[in-house]
Amino acid sequence: MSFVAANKRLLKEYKALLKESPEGIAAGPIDESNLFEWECLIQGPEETPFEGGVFPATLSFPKDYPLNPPKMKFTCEMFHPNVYKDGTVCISILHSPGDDPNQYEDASERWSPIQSVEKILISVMSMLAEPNDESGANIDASKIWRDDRKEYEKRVRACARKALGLF
Amino acid sequence: MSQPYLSAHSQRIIDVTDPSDWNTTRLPLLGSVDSALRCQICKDYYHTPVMTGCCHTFCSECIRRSLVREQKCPVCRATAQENQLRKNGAAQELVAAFVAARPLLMEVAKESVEERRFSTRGEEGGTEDGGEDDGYPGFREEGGRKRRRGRRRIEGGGAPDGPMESAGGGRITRGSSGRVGSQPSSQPSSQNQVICLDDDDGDEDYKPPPSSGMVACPICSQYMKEKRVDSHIESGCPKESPASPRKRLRGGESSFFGSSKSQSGYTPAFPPASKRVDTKPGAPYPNPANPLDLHPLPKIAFNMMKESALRSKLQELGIPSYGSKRTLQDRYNEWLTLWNANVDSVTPKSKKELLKQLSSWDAINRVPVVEKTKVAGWTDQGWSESNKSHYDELIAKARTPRVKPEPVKEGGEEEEEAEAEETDDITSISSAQMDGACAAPTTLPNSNIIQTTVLNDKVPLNNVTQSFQPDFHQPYLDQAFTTALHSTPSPPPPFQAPPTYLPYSHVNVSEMFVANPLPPTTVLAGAESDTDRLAIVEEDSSLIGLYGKRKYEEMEIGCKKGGGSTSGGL
Repeated sequence: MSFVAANKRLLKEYKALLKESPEGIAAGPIDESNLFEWECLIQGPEETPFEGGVFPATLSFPKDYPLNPPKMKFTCEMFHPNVYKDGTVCISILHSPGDDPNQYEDASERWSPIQSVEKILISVMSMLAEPNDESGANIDASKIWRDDRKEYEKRVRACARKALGLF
Repeated sequence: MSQPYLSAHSQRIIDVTDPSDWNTTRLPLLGSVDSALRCQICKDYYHTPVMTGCCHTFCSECIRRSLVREQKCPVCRATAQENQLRKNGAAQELVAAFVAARPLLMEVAKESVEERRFSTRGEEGGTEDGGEDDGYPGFREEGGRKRRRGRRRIEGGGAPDGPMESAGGGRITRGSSGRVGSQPSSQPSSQNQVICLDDDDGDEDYKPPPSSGMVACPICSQYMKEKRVDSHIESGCPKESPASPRKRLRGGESSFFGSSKSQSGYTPAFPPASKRVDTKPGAPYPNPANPLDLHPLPKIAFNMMKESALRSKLQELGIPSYGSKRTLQDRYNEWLTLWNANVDSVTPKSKKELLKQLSSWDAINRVPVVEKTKVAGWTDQGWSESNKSHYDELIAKARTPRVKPEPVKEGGEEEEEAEAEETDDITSISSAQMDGACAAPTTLPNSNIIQTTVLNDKVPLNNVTQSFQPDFHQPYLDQAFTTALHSTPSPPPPFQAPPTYLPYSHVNVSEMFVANPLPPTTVLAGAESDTDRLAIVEEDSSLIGLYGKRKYEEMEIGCKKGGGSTSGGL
């Protein structure tokens, strides 16, 4: 609710990430004069079809951050059951406890002011490794993931290559 | 650390403190101390820390703001309420002590990294304690003392009776008083142990009891010769003669706060726990450091409060009272947060400062609070330009037809309202009407619709224009009004009960009049009544009564005007 508080907190998170960010994750504001729009890079987790890919995404923070979660959107093509076709990530940690669009999430998994960018990105990384088929954001991907794992892996690899600009 | 080529923003980032600052120093473990003293919501050091019922500590302002949104602890999600919050004095003092010591600590911790880099001899043993202790300014200032690190090594530091100096004047907080014992190291160690049990507050002249037969009274803790104890107790613990060693309070009875006040002007930020028990919202903490005697504000059940009452409440508090009810609610909540956090504070700010904070909040929240940062490429202007034609249509629509047809519609709808309350139909038809009106405003001016529908009585029900149909002939107008007046639900015989119709559903009304306010000159009676109706509709209570009364007044006008237009049609 307080813009100043949000700014300060984002600055702190940015600094912490600059000093020490978890493996496979890089994040920071697009422009340091506006701390409410970040971009981040997520490395595809090992031993998954995403391995080897580096996936860019944007994070948009609300003015009352950290009371409300940011929105995350992949800016590359993404084929994943929990990522909408426009790239928006659908994951419980990004949903505030008030709104539950899918009516399935446990409140304990959802957003709380003590979560952070780092935790979001780690969750997204593990989401890449283990899709949650209970909440299909991309129905096609969910179906293929469930019925034809080989086809799924093929398409994901194509995605990863595309994200690296190898097409 | 301050390279000249850094931008202002980068410099700002460096200035921000963070637990990770310790990672590169010789004391990386202090990082966890640092982060333990920070609020998990704002990631800054606790500012007026308070504890929830589930024993998690946050800044007062942070947790209050969070609880306005959701009454749960952000850490464990246990139910938490504002009135359960209790101040955490220990955390506050720890933070104050650590923040004061931090720059020095950091300096020393970094120095030692460099020292180690350039020196050949290892200093493994001294890593933790040496650097840390030297950081306390209080210890540094003890006069006539050699570097501690050296002494420690000689005396085997870490033993509980380690003879550390701590004269009262140098002490900053209670935190450091754990290291007690004002005796020089020449004292025998057995005596030092006695002192360590003591809650010593730095009496320079205190001498430990000589070991020769002096014992403490079990009641008043005075020292005396062993054989005197019985008679001392029997006579009701009088003060022992000055010849006997100085009176001394010991153990739990000794008032820590009392004695600590006496030295170095230090007053505890919090009253003793015994005085802190009863802290209901109505009964504020006995806060000696809070000279203004501030009282916390209560929460408001906004649903039970009318907008006007809320507005005057805000005026009463001396905060801005403009805006919609929603804005007023949000503003009150923000003020509540700021104010109550300020009440908790040991060093409360003036109301003026709080108002300043509130006005900066207001400036940011002109747009709704829930609004997220906008999508790239969005501008308000761009939107209004790209949809200009639509808005123009709506405006034109709203201006032109309202003067004449209004009364006729009112008549029809009034009759219906009195006759049948079919809410489902009301919304569906009225929204259909609005859609139709928006889609083709130029081809079908309202006046035309009225005339056609009046001419063709049996228009199919699904026709959008049906809603405008008065559904009665002129001869029945009077009868219709009479029925409306007396609220008798008997329709005029020759016609079926007409489809119930209210001119606007709630949403449509607000859209019409909020988005396109009508200039008062263009619309006469219609606009006036519509604005009133909007107000009435919004206050759901007493809808029927007020609405009915209003309708009745309108009808009298409508009867003449509408009658004229309908007869013209016929």
